[in-house]
Amino acid sequence: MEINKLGKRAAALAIALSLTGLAACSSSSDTTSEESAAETSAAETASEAASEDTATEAGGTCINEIFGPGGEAAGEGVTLNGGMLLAMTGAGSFFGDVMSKGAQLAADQIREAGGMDYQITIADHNNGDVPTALTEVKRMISQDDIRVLQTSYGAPSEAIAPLIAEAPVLTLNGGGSSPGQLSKDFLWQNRMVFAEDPAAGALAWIHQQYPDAKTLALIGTQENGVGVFQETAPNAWAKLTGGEVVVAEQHNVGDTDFKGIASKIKSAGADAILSVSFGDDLGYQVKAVREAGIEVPFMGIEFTGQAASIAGSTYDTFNFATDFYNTENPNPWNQCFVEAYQAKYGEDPEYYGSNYYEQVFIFWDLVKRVIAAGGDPTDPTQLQDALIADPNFKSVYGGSDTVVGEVTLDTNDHSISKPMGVFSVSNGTPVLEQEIRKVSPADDPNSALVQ
Amino acid sequence: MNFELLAQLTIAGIVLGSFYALLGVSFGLVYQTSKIFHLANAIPFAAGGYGAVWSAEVLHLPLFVALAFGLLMAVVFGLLILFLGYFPVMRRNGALLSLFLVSLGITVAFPNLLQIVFGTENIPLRTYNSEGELSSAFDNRVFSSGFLTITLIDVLKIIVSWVLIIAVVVFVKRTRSGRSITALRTNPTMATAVGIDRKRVYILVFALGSFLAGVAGLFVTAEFVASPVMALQWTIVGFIAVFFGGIGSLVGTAFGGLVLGLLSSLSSLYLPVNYSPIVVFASLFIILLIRPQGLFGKASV
Amino acid sequence: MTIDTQRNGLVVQNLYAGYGKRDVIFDVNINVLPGEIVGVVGHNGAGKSTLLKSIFRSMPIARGNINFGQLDLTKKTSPYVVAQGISFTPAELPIFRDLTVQENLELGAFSIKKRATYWERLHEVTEIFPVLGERLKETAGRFSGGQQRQLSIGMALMTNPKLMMLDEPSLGISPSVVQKTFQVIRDLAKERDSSVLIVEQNVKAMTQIADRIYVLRNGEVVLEETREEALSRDDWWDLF
Repeated sequence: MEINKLGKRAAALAIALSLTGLAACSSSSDTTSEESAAETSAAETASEAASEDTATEAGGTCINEIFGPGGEAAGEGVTLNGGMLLAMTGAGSFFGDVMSKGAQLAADQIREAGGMDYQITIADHNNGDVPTALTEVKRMISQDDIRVLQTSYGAPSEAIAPLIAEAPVLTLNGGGSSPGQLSKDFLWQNRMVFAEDPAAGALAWIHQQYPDAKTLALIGTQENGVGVFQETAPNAWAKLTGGEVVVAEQHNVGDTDFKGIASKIKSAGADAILSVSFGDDLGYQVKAVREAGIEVPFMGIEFTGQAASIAGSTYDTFNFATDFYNTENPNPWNQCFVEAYQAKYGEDPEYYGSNYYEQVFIFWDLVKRVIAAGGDPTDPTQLQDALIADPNFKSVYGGSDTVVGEVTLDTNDHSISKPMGVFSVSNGTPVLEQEIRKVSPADDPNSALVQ
Repeated sequence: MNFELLAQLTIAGIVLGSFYALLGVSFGLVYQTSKIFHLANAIPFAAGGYGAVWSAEVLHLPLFVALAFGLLMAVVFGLLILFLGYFPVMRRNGALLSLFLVSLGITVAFPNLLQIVFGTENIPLRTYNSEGELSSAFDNRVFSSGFLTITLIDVLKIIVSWVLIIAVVVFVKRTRSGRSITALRTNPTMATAVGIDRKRVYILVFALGSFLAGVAGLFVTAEFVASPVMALQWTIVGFIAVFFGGIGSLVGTAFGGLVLGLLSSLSSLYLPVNYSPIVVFASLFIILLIRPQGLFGKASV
Repeated sequence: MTIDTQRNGLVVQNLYAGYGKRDVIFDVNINVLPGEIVGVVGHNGAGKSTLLKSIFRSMPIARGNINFGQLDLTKKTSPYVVAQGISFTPAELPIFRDLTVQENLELGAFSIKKRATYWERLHEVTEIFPVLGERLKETAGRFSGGQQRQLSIGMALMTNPKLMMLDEPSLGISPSVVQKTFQVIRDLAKERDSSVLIVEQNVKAMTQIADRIYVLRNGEVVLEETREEALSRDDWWDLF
């Protein structure tokens, strides 16, 4: 698979090179690469065509099986303009890529199932740049007439809150949920609040598994999870163990050299490590810590394949606690999603792709309800009212091999509750160790462990 | 004073500093000679990494051949930038600002090209083993002695960086081609007068500089992954090293890089690690105020 | 004026050159015969340096032809010109200050590929300028103005040029040193039957060395005279 993909890309590279007139490479090596590229890409086209057939069939039928028949009541004939505010270029482009892929797949599936016509406009917030985000959202509201929006990252999503409340635009964030985005009109989260929600369960699990651990090292950034870094984690750790935080280091987002932090952790002799860093940084951290000869438990609050490929085999010593998305979940909608995603993009979906995929289905569900009530399904206010009236939605998370999962949005603070767990990693793949739930800071952190 | 921590941070600083020195000499060779603010040195860096990863997976090349292929790509892409980006602007009597803007444009656009061609994913360096399966190409061994540890890649970084830096310095000082670099750098008019072909010298320094950037890219790829944005933060370090150590001297640049790495690492003895970029830039600022020619640079005449 | 193309002379015809679209020299016609020393005099900004750089092909020309013997230099570049036996010594900073005397002379011989030839020339140059031979390992930037000027001429001689072009060689050195240096150049040219093209503001110095003089004003040649004619003039200044 991987080789095929690279082969196909090599062909694209060869085209790009010849387009720019760069015949500088020696002709002999050119021929070999082009030949092998042609070969592999031909093979891929064949396999792609084959799997696409079955997928369309499976996609069409399975969506109708889960969400009911198409037609006018399902929003056929309704066009809903949706915007996406993502990181499309630079360091975070991976996130923008998978988020837009998830949403696009959902739009295709809904259209095929005889539902609404969901039109997507994608804007780039330049890795979370706030002024860019504001400009882009204003542009999408005035030029593209968006009625719903899928936003990402913490800072830009907090910043656009007044804009979307005024327009209004019904907005969902499945990426960087932060405490500052809670309880804002027209802004809803469909991922758990980053770090804050799983922190108690994560530490309780460490305490349960390593009862002798007394000292904790904290790693984080100034972007996300600051509350956990400063309060939630130290308090919960003290309650659990009577111990204290011996190292607390914040680093800059995008750092790759963590030798200094690793040395400090080693020197302080911490018994356990909790990192609320995110993205690739976490992969660099785990690798640096293990290569410094530190063998204590290392807990994170996120898992990405990207970070795993950076850390390599050292990631098998890593644990994380989050509302993790699992491709293996037998939930029928999830299996339908995974199959269609693989067929369309030639790769497995992951956490962020699945969140943005689900968001479009939440919009669709709301459109259907507004139509049933005889309202205007493109009016953001009526869509939000429908959400508040019944905040339960089908989900690719949770469920079983016969039952589709369900998630519930909190109509007070607009957050979401999803199944969470503590995971270990085996050969780069997450394995569920313990289910956990969100608890309030006042509660005993041990109660976060689901018995 | 915690001596174990001091010793470990010193080791980390030497590793980082050696890498900075390599990047500084890479950037310095080009900058001193052409005065082009060659930000696009990030491209050969990334081309080295992607060249190795791609050739190992698609052409099934064994590790060392794939690394060599990566270096070849680094040089090829460095020269492509020179021929397609800089030379056309120079022919139109291009000002340094125009050349910098060309460089900036290439630097911004190239990661996007990488994303389009290779995708946004991080790609680890993997080679085919004897069973014909793709597996991690490089097992980064850890050597430890008591509290202190160092990895194989770190050891290689130190050795390879300084061997290459010394080789480049000797080449520039002792050979005819090398002296043409010094001649063009110190007195372009006289260099032309004695018959040195400016274009050839540019080709030489871009090839050398890109080769060194490619080596740096291979290190990052072998240790971690190749990714579209893998290069920019490192190449910026390269030009800080040049101004820090000495604009006119490669040896000064190399030692500047080493000091920079030590400073950045040892500052975390007393400060949180997210202060280390501030420490680096503050030191650069102070150096520029009190020794504008750089820490080890000769005062310009 | 008859042009003998059988001998290696420099012939410049209808030359226009300048910076960007603005020409600095207009329709310049000059020639230098083998063994002849020709001076070009004129004010600052008259286009003297532009003329030398154009001939040396280190700056672009707009129109005109440059021939050296049988060779057409019009479309060539400096490295080619050097290889044809033409040297150029700029007015300002005519040496590499950071390098030693020997390294400077070695760079002067940059176009000479044969090592043996280099040693031979080094020997010749140090005989002509003994001070260079005595101080081969010293950094050239520490030399006095006159010694630096000697070194620059030494560097030019490393290629045993058929045509030496010197831009203001009297700049920054005392009149007695100028006189000595010019004497050396003159003797060499006559001895080797090689040509010299010198550009100067210093007219008086020029009359000591040149066989023939061109006067350049606002980019145009306004006068051509032999040394004898020039020396018989009372006042040069009305020409400028």
